[in-house]
Amino acid sequence: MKRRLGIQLPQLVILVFLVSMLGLAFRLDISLTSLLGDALVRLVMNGVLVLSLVPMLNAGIGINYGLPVAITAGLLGLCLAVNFKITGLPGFAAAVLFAVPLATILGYGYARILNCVQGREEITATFIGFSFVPLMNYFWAVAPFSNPAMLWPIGGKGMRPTIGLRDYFSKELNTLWSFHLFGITVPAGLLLFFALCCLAVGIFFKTRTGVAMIALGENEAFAKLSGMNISRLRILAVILSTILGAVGICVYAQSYGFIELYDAPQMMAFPAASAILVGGSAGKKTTLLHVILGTFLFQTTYVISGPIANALMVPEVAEIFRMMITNGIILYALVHEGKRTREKYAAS
Amino acid sequence: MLQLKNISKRFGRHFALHSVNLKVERGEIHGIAGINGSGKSTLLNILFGNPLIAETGGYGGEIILQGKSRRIKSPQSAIAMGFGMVHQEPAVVHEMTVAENITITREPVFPHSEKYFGRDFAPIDNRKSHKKAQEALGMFGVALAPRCLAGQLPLNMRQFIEIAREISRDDLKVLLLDEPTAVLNGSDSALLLRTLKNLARKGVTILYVSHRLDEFFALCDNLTVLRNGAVSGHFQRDGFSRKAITKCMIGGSVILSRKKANLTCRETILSLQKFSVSMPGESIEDLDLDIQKGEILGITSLSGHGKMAVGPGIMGLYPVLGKMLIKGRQAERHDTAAMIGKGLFMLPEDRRQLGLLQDHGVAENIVFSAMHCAHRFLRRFPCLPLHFPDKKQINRYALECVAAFAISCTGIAQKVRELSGGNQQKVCLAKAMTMEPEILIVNEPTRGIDLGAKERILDMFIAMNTTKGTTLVIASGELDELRRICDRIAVLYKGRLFAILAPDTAESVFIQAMSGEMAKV
Amino acid sequence: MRHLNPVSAVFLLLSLVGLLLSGMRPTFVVNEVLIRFIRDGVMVLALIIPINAGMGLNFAIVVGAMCAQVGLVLAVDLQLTGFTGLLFISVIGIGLSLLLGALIGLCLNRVKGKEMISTIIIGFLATSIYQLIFMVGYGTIIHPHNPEMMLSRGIGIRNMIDLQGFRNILDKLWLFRLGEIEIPLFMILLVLIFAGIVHSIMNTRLGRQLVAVGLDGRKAAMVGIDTEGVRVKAIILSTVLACCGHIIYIENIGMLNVYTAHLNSDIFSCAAILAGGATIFRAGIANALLGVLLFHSLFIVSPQAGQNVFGNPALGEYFRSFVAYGTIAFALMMQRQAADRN
Repeated sequence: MKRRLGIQLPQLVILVFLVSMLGLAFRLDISLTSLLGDALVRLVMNGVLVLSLVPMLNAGIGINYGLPVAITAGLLGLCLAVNFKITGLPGFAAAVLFAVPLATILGYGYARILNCVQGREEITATFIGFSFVPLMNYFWAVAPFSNPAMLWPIGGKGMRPTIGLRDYFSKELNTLWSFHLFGITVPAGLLLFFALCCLAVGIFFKTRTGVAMIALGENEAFAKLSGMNISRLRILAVILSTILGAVGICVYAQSYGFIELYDAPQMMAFPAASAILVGGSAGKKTTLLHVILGTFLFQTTYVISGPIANALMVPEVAEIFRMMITNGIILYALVHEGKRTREKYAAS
Repeated sequence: MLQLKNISKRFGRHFALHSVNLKVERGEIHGIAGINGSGKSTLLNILFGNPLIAETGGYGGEIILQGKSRRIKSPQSAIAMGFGMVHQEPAVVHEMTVAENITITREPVFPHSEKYFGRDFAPIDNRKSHKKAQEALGMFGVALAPRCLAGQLPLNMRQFIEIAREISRDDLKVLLLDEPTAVLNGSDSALLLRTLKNLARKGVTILYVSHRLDEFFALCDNLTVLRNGAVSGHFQRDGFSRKAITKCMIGGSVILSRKKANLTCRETILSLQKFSVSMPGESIEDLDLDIQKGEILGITSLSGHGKMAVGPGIMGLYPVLGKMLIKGRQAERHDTAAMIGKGLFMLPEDRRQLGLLQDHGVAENIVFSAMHCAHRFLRRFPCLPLHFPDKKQINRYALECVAAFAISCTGIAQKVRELSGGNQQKVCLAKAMTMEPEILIVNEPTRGIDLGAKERILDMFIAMNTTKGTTLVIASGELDELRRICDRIAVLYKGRLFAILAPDTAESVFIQAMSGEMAKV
Repeated sequence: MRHLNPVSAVFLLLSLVGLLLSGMRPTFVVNEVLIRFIRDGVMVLALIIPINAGMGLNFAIVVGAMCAQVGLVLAVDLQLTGFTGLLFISVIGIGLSLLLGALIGLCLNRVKGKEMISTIIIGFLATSIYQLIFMVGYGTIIHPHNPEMMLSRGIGIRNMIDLQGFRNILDKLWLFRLGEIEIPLFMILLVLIFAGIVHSIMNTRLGRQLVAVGLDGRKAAMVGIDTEGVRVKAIILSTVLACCGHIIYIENIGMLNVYTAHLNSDIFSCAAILAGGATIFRAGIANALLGVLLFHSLFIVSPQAGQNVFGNPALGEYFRSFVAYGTIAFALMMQRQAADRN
């Protein structure tokens, strides 16, 4: 048996990339401490979204490329909170509270569809996500919200593509209990929130239902033979993923300071997928360590590559490199997993 | 023509073939006999380069064809060398037409087109292809419309398509047949045998695998018998004797029945009436079988004749028809959870894929079913409706099991994947015992397990039956073992009950019953 | 096609309703549809071979499209024009797509059962590599011969390249007018010739092997077909066809949007072939040709219909992206039984 965290190609690539970036940043006199603070923020900002992939992965449904469905539920929650003009931390809490029931409903429908396409969940989820985005665009364009801060300034109909949260609950969690340590801003409240989310997921997978879900993901035929209700477990996993995704986008939006509507959610599933794969979850039980490590490594490259590319005068490079890394890692994981299944067949 | 030297094949720790030697002349029809699991199909799979062989680590030994040593890596390379194969289950693509199936990979193309477009891109001449297909089928007097979809034809016709495909090849040197008559009736079989004789006269070497002695008598020049993966006898045409061959197939060992057969009539605990199971490759039709409380019932048949489908059918894993009465009452729901609730439990034949969570520890596997189906070993979280596994209780119980079943592992947290086959089966048994079922169904309990562990497992079955009164239904192809521990043995043939025999019935009777030849005894 | 497939019927109905609501002149729509037929027809045909080989929708046809664009950019860089230029583009494009097609095919052999999601990711990955080469590589590592196409900062190629030298060298051949309808006969024939090529490929030995592998890979291996090789060949053919299709597309538009022209060509082509009644396991020439006509009819009328009904053209846009993605999602959801059989 290999060690549990044996370094594989994706981690290696990302580490090499990270180290060379850090070296470059050092030479270009970019403040490393501020980068580290940013990295911590980005860890949580995206961490909950990445965490949301865990239930579906562990139930054997695969990577939730249909993340836009969950994000939509979260965006609706955010918009409702802004519409009722709830500010500060209560605003954020309200957004989450609005989002959860919506995510449950959407997640249930999404799960029912995924239950029909067993074995091809990932590709179907991708296109459910892709087609859900224009459907929601339609909704955003005619949504009956009334807060003028969210509507087009001219005409007053239809939502703006980006809604500023400065007057509502922008960076509420980021600044909560944050303190400075050796020049690094430590967003303690934000980190605590993430830790709580992780803890909740961790505890869930220790319960009877959670254990059953992991067993289902490991061996569906076994689960069936043990008399478990497979479709119910799968639906539960998808709903959990969707709820976490909705909470994830709420955290993301408050941290970013803007709600991004319309086409923004379309590609959000891929960086999240890539992050969890970098963490080392490819083809086996995904743990919280994979989530945290993966998100941290992946997002730190984001944080560092931006200022460097700007300093080098070709600002597009950063984005292109990120895309390349994102998709390269997913492809590597797919090929690697294909090799593993082959070997598994050979062994039996 | 063809010579095999020390051919060996291992699946994991288990030898499927052990240094098999064979020599076949040009134009000879050579029979290969053996009971289930004797390695005869594996031998053909090696010769035809079945991907299964390469995926599981290849084979050992040497294959010499026409004086040249050859390595067979894939069906493609085998075909290029001149091998052809007729499979037990025809490799005929259902959604393609008869002609397409027969001419595949060597379709006739328009004249000269191959010169300009190359082999792959030369356009096919459909009319010629139809003609070729009809000619091939005509060789043994079968007429089929070449445009007909193969999937719409009955199984015996699909078998003929496969045979036609192979014998229509110009470069065919060695034809391998794996129980080709399994799906054919009497007259079809006769037709096939005649065709094969003609083919041999043309100089094609034929290796014919079967378990039907009559066919060897009618067809073969020489006969090799395999037992447990090794050659156990060799016969020439004038030396064929039914008795000697049968003895060679099943071995001369004398087996002592360990358990006294107990056939006093008791109440029926589970009754199957007109019970049909549609399990791919192993289906049951209209089975009538009563299982009595407290007995050990053995179920045996050749592979493909339904022994493996009884358990999954009862547990509701495949669609079923007919009635199933548990203690005289029909269950309202027929799914696995309901059956487990009624005190039934099953251990599947495929331990790795179905029976165990390979990446979980020994303890987790033992208590898994009890935890999820019977809500045992759980601890409720105070004031929240969350149930957690009770680690302390589980560990204590698992340690007891490890001791009681003599499971050799480094600890109860060791992953099941790392255990040997025998120990894995013991974990399965411990899991089943934990459920305390009234009826335990076991498929192939000793497959892939070494001798020592086998004995212990059989002992455990007897112990379970005598001390706890558990009714056991054991489906297995290992006749010796069934005869040692069972009270009654049901023999299935073509998915139906053929006979119920007492365990002390002569082995030859079992063999004949399994091949549906009882009437002749 | 004996009966109109339900999916096609829905498309037909929606297009007709859209046409009524938009108030566009039918002749205008016919002209537009014909242009789209020429532009996108071959690209859609490129999907047929992998579908029949059991590999599903090949979203990696964008790679073929990129090969064509590489050829074009090089031609512009070397200032080749006219038929020589076209020949140069074809040689470079097809050569490159042979190579990349083989690579994709080898990659897909390792992800059996997950080909579609892999082709999507391959498409994304190839796009970023392509962007890296032309946005960053040009002007730093590669030295351009034609400074006109560079961005003012000296690194990277401009977003838009005008293809004066190629514009309409083919489209105006054999152009007929039938009342108000313009019929570029040569181009239509060209698309039909490609259709004929695909059709005849399906009728060769390779075609039969493709179908056998697609229907039942295990059995196909047992009759001596090199299943992995066949799958690689299927993807190579598909990539080459996509490359040819994209050359026609760009030549017809006359402008090259260097960084975005190839995007979405995969989604639209896949949606089109499904609109024509194909499934992710079976597709024929008729599905492809019918699908292009139906899909693009709906595409042309929907923005105007959205404008007329809701007073907002964006709604029509959303509707058509929804149709494109939704058709694929629907097709994936519907083919469960067929999947179980395999």
